[in-house]
Amino acid sequence: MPERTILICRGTGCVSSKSPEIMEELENLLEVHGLAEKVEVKQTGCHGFCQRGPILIIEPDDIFYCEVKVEDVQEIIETHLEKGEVIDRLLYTDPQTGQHVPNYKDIMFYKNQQRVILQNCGHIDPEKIDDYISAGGYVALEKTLAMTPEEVIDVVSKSGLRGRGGAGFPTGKKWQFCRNAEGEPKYVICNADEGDPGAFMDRSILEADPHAVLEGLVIAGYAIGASHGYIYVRAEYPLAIERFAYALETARERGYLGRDIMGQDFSFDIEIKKGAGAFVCGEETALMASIMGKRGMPTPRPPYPAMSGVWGKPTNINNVKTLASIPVILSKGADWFASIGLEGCSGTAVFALTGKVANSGLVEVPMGTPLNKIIFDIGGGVPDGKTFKAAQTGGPSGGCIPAKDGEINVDFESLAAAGSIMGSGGLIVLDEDTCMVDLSHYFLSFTMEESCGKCPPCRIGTKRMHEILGKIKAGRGEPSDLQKLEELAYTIKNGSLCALGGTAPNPVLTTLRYFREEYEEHINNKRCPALVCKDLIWYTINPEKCIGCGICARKCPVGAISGEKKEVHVIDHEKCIKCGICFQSCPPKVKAVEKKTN
Amino acid sequence: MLKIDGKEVEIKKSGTILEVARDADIYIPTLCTLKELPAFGACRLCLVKIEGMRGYPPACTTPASDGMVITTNDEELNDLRRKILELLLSEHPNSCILCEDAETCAKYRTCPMKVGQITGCQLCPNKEHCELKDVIEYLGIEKVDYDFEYKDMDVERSDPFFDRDYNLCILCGRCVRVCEDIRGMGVLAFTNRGHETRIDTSFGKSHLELGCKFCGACVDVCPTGALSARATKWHGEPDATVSTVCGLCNINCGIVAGVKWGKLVETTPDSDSYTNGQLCVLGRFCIATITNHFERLKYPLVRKDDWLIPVDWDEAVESAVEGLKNYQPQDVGFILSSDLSNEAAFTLLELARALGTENIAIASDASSGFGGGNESGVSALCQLSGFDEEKLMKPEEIAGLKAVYTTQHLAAGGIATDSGAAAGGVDTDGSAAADGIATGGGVATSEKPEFLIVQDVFESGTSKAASIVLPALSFIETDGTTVSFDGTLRILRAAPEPYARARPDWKITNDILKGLGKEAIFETHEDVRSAFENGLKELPQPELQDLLSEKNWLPKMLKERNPSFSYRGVDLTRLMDDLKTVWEAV
Amino acid sequence: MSKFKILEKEMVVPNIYKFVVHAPEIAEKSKPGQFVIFIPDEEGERVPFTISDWDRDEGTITAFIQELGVSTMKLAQMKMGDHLEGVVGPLGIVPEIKNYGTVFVGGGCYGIGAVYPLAHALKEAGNRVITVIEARSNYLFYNVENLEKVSDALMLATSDGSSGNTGKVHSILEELGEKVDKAFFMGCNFMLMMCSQATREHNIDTEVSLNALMVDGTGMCGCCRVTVGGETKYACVDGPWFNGHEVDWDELFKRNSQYVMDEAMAFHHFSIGCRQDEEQGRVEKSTSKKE
Repeated sequence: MPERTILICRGTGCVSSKSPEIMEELENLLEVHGLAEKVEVKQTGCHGFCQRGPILIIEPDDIFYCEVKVEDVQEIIETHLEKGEVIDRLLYTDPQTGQHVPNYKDIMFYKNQQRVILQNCGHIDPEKIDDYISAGGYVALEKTLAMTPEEVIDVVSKSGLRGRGGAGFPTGKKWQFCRNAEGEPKYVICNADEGDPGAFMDRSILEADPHAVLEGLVIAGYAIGASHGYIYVRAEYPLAIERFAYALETARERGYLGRDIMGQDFSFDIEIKKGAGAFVCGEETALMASIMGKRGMPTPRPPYPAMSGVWGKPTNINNVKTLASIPVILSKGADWFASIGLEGCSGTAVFALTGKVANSGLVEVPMGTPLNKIIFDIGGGVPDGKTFKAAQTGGPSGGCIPAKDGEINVDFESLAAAGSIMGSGGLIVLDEDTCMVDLSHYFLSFTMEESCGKCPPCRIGTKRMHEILGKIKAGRGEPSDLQKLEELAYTIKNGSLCALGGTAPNPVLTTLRYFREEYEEHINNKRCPALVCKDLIWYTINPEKCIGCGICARKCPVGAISGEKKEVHVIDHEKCIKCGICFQSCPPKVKAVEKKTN
Repeated sequence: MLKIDGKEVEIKKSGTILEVARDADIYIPTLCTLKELPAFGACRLCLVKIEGMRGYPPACTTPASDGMVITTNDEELNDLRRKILELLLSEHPNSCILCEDAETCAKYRTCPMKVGQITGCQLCPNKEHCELKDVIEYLGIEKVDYDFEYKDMDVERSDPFFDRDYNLCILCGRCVRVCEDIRGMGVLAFTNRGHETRIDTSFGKSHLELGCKFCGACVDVCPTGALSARATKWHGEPDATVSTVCGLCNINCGIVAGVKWGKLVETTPDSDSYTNGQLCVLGRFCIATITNHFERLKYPLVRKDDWLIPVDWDEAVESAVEGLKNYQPQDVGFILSSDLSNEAAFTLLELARALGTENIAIASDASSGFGGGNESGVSALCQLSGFDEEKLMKPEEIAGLKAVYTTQHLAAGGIATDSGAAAGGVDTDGSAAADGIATGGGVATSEKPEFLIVQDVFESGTSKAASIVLPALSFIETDGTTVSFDGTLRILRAAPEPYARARPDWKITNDILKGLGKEAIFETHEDVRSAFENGLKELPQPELQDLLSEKNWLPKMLKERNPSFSYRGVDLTRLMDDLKTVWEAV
Repeated sequence: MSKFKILEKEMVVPNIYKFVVHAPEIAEKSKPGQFVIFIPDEEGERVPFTISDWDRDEGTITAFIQELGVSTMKLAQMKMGDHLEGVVGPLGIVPEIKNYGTVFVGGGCYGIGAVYPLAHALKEAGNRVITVIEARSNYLFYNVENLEKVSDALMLATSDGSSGNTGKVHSILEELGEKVDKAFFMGCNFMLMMCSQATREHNIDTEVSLNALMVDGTGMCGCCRVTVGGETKYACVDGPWFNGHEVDWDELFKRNSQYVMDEAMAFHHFSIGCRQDEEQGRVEKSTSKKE
């Protein structure tokens, strides 16, 4: 029995910052130091705190090392493992107090979370089914198989679980529809086509705890009466696909999948379908079209997938997070789950917290947690002394919540009332340097490119909106443009075939609702208050601050900056292309290059 | 029972709201639906309001159910529809709607402007009939609130027969769906995504490379001028249309012939016909072209001093009569083209009887694997006249006689069943050599008949070797009947005015009969039709081809069963390069 | 460099091609408002085009060709470096170039390119030149930079309002509010008629470059017959410039549409490749007479 276990994160984030090399080095050096027997090295999935990766946890000491490099391995072995001394410089430093926090559970990022779906993430080896089983895995499936399908659906209904893909439709009800639908065979699908920019909840879960999703899908299959399941996952998630495929293999070996599961009269298998990265394929009907080998274009409902889905048969589609909640609900009980979060909106919400926030990463909080708590208590607030301006939830389909409404509870209804959506879990924090017109322009360019092109409101409407926003950004906006934007938003929302179009105007609508004066500044005064829109700003060199170091002049790609050494430099506005390189390259202590707007 | 716009409507058969509304004569604008295709829900113009339902569900995909209360036409809906249409128009040349001079201009600009790229109004082949414009007129749009964005895509003009100008495309997807769902081809697809979504061929290859059969179904369903038949798009709306059947093969698909300036300007599928409103390349794109082709025989010709000299009909008929009188019955032979109408074949058989000859042959002329336009009818008539299969001679045997009366070119598909032409004969290219009609069938005769009457539609090697040339009208220019391969009698109706001085086959033969002192068989084609219809019933029904048993079978070109695309023995691919290109690619 | 070589050919806007052809003798003698006749190939018909620019040193002429039928389609399919079978010209009587005061120059379609030498000459003669060009939509404008150089004011009119004024040349003319002493128009006959009607109301002397069907361009065939001020004129030798207020427009439209059917049928056969090939021609010759 090893004395210590070293958990090393091998989620996509940490892998790209060389965690596999660290693991290899660890194993090699443990061998050299004769500690191979005493210390077990274990790979895990994502811990969620990707910003500080690679992450390494030493148990049972519960020491959390972050931003570890291959060169640090020797010191970890010699100092920590051999001498038992904690290496301070590798510990997490609280940005507010400046203190090192050695213990994992004391880090504010983790301390304020409640991990239900992510409970195993970072603690088990996703490639070891036994790890999952010893963490309580497949108990729920065993329980399920002892129940009738109706009883299973009843438990799910009672738990109050709602779809985590964004729409928040009660999962139990959805299952019931599909169970009641006529037609054989039936299909269950796990929607892992996570496409929002900046969102990585589903990927992390699949990478860190694939069996939970697998188990959830098998339970769904049993409850609905399906014998075949699909998981539709983006091809851009190779690690998730690999881990899930391996999970399928091992689950089959152990009899949790395939013929007569766990010796019961229930056969079910799962097939992986890789998506080619079209955002619209996250939409149920487009996803099903894609599974059938057709172009991923949504089809109108009715018929609903529950009646006529894949291959024209009753089909149930659930998000990764929804399915990952299922085993917990069945093993811990509906009441336990329902006690988390709000009434009518139970359980937890998982967010990919990104943007201008100190601690970005994967967070899980009870439904109804105030937005400010997520951003400040978990996220550690906005860094660099900037102020929090707004938060965008639901990615390009969602809207922004202004800082003044930061106390809003994060749940389906509250966000909808604020003009945004819960979405599948993207949460982008924006600070004072964000121009809201620019932000809408960015999101519109995303939806415009990702529209399937089938219906004109979405295909052309988003383009026209994008053009108008571009015009405003370029200082060519007219007062009537705001009304045009609102009209277009109305047309797209009400005229579009699917939710992609139906939600595409949300970023514009919410920014217009909360930051209208910013649009008006652009239009009426040709100003960009956040100093973002290129055509409305210019760069100057403050003669009082410039030390004449010449860095900016050397870096300027168009030779627009002139000045003698040690003399004040000047920018030629005729030549300047406003790339901002001078602004970035001016030494932080000098800060002579300034952005200006009208 | 449900309520649409306050009107109680009965659901006669289960269907979508759109179908039920149409049955009740309630118009709901749409651009992407097509009754032959499953609903698509793309154009978003059929949005309606249903009490108790959120938002604006599309009428084309929402099933109608009892008790629904539906609004299809109010300001709120029309406003939303107008806004959606405006978006479409912000990318579709729209001066035809917005130009203040449109009406005056249309009055004065009567010449078609045969432009390469369509940029609107007078330059649009659909200017007289545009589904997009219909919807605009219903909703009433006077301005487009958005900056116009021209897609500026190159016009696809390299494939045979039709042009694709996607600058006009509104992405209704009808062409893609008709190609995939009805024709089973999948040549077309949606490509790219987002705002850049386009309709194009799969992988951007040419239609030819993708095995397109050029049936033209995509062109027929296009609601705008994006897809258009290259040859006929500038003819404008026909003055008159005539429903008839195609006579290029024995399927006899239903066609609608469009006539303008007295000429046949286009043929489109007849959606009420038994061929489900579908055609093949021949019926869709070739009939008008061959009917107006400059290689048609224009006037009667009689050989004088070795020259074929144009003469009037009386002289031509008299020469034929006199010529035939010079031969003993056993020296005279008739070659019946299987493209002849029943009337034409009937009169020819009568002429043979009048001359006392039993030398009769049918020249099979398969255009699509189903035999000549009236193969079933011609052979049935022969049978009724006592010429069963055993008694019929072969065309090459007739060709060896002294006097031959043929109704088709005697090369490809005719006598020369092999492609190679024998020395001293009429070869498959239609060039005649000095001596005689020869065949590749091995029964070649080194000698040309002494007396050769050619009653035909096109100039050919045979017509050039003739003693007398009698120009005949094609199936689309004469009234008559034909029997399709399924044994059904179908009616041919004359659409355009007769070509030059050509006459119907039956009339020519009739006149010769009269010249021989016999009574005319009939003066109008109706006379023969009744007699024939009765006779037909007595015949055993022909065995139907296997594909008739398929439920929704389609006219297809079956090259493996198809020696050539020919009509009256003339290889049609010789008459137009585009058809040749298709033929070589298929 | 051989004669009539196409030195430059590009589609400037949909359907309108700019041709620069080597024709030194013609370039030498070209005057603003004149035209040339292009013969695309051995069997091609003769098609008239306005000379839109020339370079005497290089020996080249420029024409903007709108693809509208078989012959222009043939031209559109020719490539840089190809040779035209023939170029005839310069043809036509030129309008008088002098200082009129304020002149209004209107162009549409091919006329946007074709009015350039005229505007240029009028400007050099000391006129205040107001140039107005029209198109269905903004993407159909071309040659704008050149026109800007030779115009005191350049205005654009589009049917769909996509740039400049919404409307046509004649609608701008009606709303101009500036005294005009003389007007010249080039474009389709419909535009010429509408503009002439507008100038008549304002009593402005108007000359239009008529587009009559033309065959030889030398006054022999009479195809381009027009009635102006009650007199029979030939657009090729008496024109193409005529007093817009005296043209019998109805007759012009009628005469221009007399070959609609033949034009359409010619296009029909040409476009899908119904050509009497050489082989056929040979057959015809050898078998008409039996040897």
